[in-house]
Amino acid sequence: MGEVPESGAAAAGGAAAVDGAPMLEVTDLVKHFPIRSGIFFKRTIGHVKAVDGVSFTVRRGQTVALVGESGCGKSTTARAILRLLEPTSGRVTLDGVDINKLSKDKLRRARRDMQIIFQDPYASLNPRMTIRQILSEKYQLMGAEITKSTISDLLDTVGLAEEYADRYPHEFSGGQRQRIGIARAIALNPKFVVLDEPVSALDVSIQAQIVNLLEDLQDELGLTYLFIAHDLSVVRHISDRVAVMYLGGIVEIADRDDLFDRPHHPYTQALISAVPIPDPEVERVRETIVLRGDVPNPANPPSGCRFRTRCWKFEQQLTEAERQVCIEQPPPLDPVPAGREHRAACHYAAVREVVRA
Amino acid sequence: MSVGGGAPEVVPEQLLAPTQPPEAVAEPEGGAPTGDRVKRGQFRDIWRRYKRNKLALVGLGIVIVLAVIAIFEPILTPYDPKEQNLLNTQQPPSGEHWFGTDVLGRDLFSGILYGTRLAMIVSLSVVILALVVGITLGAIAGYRGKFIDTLVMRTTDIFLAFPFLIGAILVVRIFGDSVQAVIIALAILAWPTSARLMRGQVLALRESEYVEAARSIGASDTRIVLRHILPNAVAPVLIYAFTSIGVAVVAMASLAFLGIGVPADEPEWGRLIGQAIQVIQIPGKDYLWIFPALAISITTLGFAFVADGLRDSLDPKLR
Amino acid sequence: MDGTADIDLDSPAAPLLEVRDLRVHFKTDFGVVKAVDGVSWSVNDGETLAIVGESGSGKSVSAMTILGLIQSPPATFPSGDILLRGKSLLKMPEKQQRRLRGKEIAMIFQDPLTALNPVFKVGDQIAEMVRTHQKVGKLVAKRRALDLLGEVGIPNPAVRINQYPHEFSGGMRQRAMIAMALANDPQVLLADEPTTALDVTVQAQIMALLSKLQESRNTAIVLITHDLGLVASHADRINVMYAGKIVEAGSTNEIFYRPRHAYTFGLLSSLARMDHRRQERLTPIKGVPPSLARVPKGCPFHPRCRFATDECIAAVPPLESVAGNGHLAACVHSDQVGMANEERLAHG
Repeated sequence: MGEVPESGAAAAGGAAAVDGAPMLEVTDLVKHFPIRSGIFFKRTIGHVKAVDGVSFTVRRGQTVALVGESGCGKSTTARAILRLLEPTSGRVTLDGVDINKLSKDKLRRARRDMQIIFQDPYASLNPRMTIRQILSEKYQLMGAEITKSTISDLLDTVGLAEEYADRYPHEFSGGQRQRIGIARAIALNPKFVVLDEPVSALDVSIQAQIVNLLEDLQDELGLTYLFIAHDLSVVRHISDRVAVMYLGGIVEIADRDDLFDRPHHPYTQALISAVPIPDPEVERVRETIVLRGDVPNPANPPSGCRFRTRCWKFEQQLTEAERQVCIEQPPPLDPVPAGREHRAACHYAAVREVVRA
Repeated sequence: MSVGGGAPEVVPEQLLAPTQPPEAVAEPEGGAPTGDRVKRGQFRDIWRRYKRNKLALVGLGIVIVLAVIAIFEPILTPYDPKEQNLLNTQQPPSGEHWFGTDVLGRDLFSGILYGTRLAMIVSLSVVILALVVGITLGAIAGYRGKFIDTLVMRTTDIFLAFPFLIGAILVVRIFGDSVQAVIIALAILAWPTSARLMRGQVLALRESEYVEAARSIGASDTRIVLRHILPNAVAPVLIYAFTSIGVAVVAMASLAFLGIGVPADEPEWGRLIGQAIQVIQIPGKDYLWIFPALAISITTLGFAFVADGLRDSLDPKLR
Repeated sequence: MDGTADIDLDSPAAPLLEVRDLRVHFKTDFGVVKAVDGVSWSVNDGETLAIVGESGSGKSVSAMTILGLIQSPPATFPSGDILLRGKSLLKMPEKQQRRLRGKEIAMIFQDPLTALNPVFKVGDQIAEMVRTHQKVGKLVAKRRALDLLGEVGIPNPAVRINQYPHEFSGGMRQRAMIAMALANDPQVLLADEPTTALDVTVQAQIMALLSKLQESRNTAIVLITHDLGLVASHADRINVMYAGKIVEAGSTNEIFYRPRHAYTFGLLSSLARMDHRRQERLTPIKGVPPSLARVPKGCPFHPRCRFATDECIAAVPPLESVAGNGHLAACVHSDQVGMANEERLAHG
């Protein structure tokens, strides 16, 4: 069926949404990119370990955020989950279905349930297609019916007027194009949507509009979100659970308030402390943990704990013996004491309050 | 050496956002599109930009005239272009023969017109053939990459390395002296460049986000190439095609000048020049080669101007 | 003589850098784009002025004009002046202007590759920057480049000085660009979105560096950005720009805690806060920022403003004082905005 609920209607599907059962289960996901060299026949001389063993769960109706800086592998993880990139190894289960075992055909059909909204509203719409064509394409590909009102209802759901459906993307502003991208993703009611930095490229005054829209759609359509972002303020607003990534692995994962108020991993702490808060008095008394150096080369990550080369704790607080542990043993993502569902990958994890003073 | 203060984009892109249309009565939260209110926005825009280039307009005029001549040639020629009159050779331009007569007594004016039709048919055929082959192979090579890409690219290398003249002679030897042989010969030499152009475009566009988006909604590879990549890739190839028409004309003329390809009784421009050269020492015979030479130059320039104009108007960023 | 004899660089009376009623218009296919439409501001030694606005607000253009980076045509400058310690920059002969730019006033950009030429070594580029404005030999200039690289926190400067930009990471390139800007000890540093393209931890490093440099050299910094968090932590004063005009100006505390223009208020209300527990819904500003070729009549913000009345369409509201402490706002309903803000803070 190709119906999209009318905007504003609290669809029956929405109410049953958050029932706690796992929608997405990712287990030991790995994605390595081979580095090739040679003129005629390229040999593989190494691997960029973009995603190096990532596991997490997203419950139905929830929003889980994957945060991290450039090179941490969050975008690659998202694409590997959707099989827009073929994972090197690992298991991805969507509503009980093992995605990686699907044949090409079945995968195409499964795509109906797992969609993605892209970061760049200027690049994610084909400049030579009208809005109507862009949106209709999905219906055609999925073999769904388009009635007279389908496209206009769809546009209405995302706050755009139907009369502009025959225009081209370049005639719209960034925020409007993003709405179109959202419309394309939620058409045909997917179960699961990956949002790849959906508001980073937008003006601040428009971001709030789009965030609200995304939340409304989640409620109305009972969507499950995987939210990739680097803007921690928006993450705090929209997520239920947050996973912090560094150099291809998850270093901390916790429920939202737990993560922000009681971070345990030194990288999480540095990350949160580095995010400026738009409040002069708060900023005046906060301290910033300034990390030294650059992110290591993902083709050649440090031994043991990947973060140790920039870790302030390693540098300032650990003894020689403790440092050896960090150098030799990769820390497992273990539960922290007194944390419900809160895990951190650090041999010496401890709370440090960094949001406020 | 450019040091600090290299001027960034003159006018930041955001400032050039098209004007807002009049406010709609009840506006949904997203607002109205901020673009120009034109239905066929794309083509009007292209034409508007094209018009600004005076040379491009001149070129367009030339091309239109050539097209008209090529199509209506049988009606336009006062004489049969192939009709030889050995008693009336090398007559200078006069009231009866506007361009005079050539070494075989044919009316030169009619010959030039006939040559126009020949040139247009041949060059168009060559370019279309080369484009079809080139675009297909280039798209496959660019999209698939890896082995197919290497195969196609090395093949184009071989073809490009082959000396033009020898190749042409070879083909004509095989197929015999005819217009078709010329078309084949020139097409064989023209397809590699369009293949490379296309491949380059496809390689770049393959990574576009809207291609990824298409994949995410279930589009097959074929659909992606045909519906998403091709329309966006085709601009530079189109521009190249127009230039190629001019190049093909010159190539054909060069071959005919040397006596290869087009049969001797066809008053092809290059052939006419070749024949004129033989009597060049005699003063007063310049009209024999000036008219065909002019024809070649004007044709080539016309298409070159159009190609130039297209380049600027199809995508201002391309310059 | 380097031509700066007429400028008394130690005069305390005039502000260090002043922009007066600057207008920058562009002729485009879509009409006249008024990128900067009557903008005035000033900055003093050792202080940081933030110019805040979204894309299309014109914030970058005013800074680029100071450095003569706006090509004319297609730009025209219907009015305005730029004064360095009270002496008009635009009225000086071209040669003199060039001497001051890069020396007294320097700029860093969002993309380091705007300033760094990829085919030349980083050290050479900095050295050339030095030699363009100071009469020193190659060796002295190279020595200076080495010192600068160290000052901006690039490890192993002796090695890095002979490397090319592509061998530097993003953060390091930014540092190199800062080094180049500081090569001639400028009095004013214009920073146009210097950290927008950087990761947040790198951003923290770069901002810490700029603060440190400001302290040690007493440089004035004009920070152009859309990031209100950055502004809260680093600016002394703020100018808020919208559609080519300054709509509000004041100290950081005034702007954040007592905004008096509807746009500023709307912006602050719409922000998601990392230090707050989850709000139910964000409060966005409706509509979209206007195209600068068709700025709405009267107050450019009125189509999106919840306080707007007919008065707002009739004429452009003048930028006037609203609190007597240097706080200016161009809003007919500035009092209403003030009250709405009080309410928001009470319930926040």
